[in-house]
Amino acid sequence: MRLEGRVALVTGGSRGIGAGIARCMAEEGAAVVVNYVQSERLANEVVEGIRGKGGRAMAVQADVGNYGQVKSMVEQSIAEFGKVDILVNNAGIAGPSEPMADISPDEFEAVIRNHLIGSYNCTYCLLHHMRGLERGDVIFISSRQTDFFPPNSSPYNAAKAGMDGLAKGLAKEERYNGIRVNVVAPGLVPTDILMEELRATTGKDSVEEVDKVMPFGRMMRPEDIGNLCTFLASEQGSHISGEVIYVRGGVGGEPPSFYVNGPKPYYS
Amino acid sequence: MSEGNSHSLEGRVALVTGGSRGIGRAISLAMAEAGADVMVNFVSNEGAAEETAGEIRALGRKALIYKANVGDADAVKTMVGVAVEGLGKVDILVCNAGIIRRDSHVHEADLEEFREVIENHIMGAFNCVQAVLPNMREQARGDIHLIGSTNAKMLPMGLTSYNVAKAGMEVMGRVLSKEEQGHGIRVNVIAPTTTETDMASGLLKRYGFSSFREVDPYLPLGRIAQPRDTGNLCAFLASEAGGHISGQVIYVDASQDRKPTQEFFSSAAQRSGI
Repeated sequence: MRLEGRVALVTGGSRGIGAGIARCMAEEGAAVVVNYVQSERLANEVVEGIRGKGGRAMAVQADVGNYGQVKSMVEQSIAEFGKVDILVNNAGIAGPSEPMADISPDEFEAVIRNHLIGSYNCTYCLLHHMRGLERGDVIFISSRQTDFFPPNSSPYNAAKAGMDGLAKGLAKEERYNGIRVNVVAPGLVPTDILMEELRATTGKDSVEEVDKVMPFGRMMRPEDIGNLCTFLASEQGSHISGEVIYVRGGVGGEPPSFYVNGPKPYYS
Repeated sequence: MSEGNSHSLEGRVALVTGGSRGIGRAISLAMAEAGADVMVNFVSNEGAAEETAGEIRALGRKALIYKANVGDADAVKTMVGVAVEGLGKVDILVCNAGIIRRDSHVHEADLEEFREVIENHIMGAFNCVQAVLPNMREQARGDIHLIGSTNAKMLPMGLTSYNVAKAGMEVMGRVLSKEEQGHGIRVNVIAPTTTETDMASGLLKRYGFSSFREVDPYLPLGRIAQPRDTGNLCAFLASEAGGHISGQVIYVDASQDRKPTQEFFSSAAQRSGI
């Protein structure tokens, strides 16, 4: 049990990558706060799944873009589990797929508020608390996009690049306080959002069909991201801080073949 | 453990160059603890290699030692043949063997010393990778770890040969990951900061410290990096749990200031009044 005695708060933990991270950390012994904003039923399923295996978990509703709600979530978490010493800033929304010229100020701000201000809100709210603990870990879930910045994705590009920058400076600020800060940047994971895009761009309907054309025999799963987050927060990963690590399953740099002829040639 | 989450290296065979001492020894042991059999390459200290192999066997794993200079392509080919013969295959390669030649700016650098460092790191990594690829491509999965250094980012003056060698290994690793991804081979560069090893003990003495414990308080997280920090990451990346990470350069440095270690030691010495 690599995370015995630890308490993790995973934002956007009810679905997709966030749910994978929550489950991985719980399997290694951490108590987990599963944050959600709309998907109460799914958040409860993640919590029940963890409890069913003998773990500790609870679901807390909060919009990370709203500081008041974040503060209340953090207070509930500490009241329930005594502390929060792992924060995973995972909550994210897909941005509009349009050139910047066609994105309204409100649309732009919504994405920045969710990813960047949301990460700030959660981190700021927990930082002083974490400084008083033996060890703290803050993990930002960024994106493959900061490696190649595709067009028609300006709010998402900017939000994720902002998270990378926030994390790298924060790692230096907090390194003498025992707080590790890292960025995990996933490649293609078959979440609800991605499967919709896949159907639209390739006509492929199942993950298994796509698995066959992936370099390492399959697309990634949320657990692949969860495993790295868990390693970084564990004793084994304790000397790693300030890093941006892409988890892309061997599709680094070049778009996977099934996207090349699709309407989104820059996807990778 | 859910499927795909395993940290086990059971059934795997690792070849660790410079695997008898320091960081290489920690990598060899981390691999063995996770279940891999290991060939420990060494070039000068046979006693240390025997000792490391003994510890691996005590963990219930097979171990071989083999003396070879990684800069010698023929010797490396023979070594890989012996590993495949003795342990069945090589599906994890760790290019860790390294040397350092200190304190000569380019204008006064010794040509032979410069060549020696480049040959050891860059040609050494190339020789080992080329020698293992035919066998590794036949395996269900392969992993190549190139051991880099934070020097490739900090670029301290006076260590040009080492900086260039480690930066070259980063580039080699990133390109190799693309070339071999279709063969199921993951390639990553693991780049430690100054770590508590024989190689770093010279720095301690130079700045008047008598032990690494005196330096610890000045470092992020209150301790100097341990060989095991690098070993742990190597074992994780080679496992099922790390199976989708490739083409990455990962620094194991606790977000240390990206400034030369000499400067750091020197300022720590000043602050501690030495």
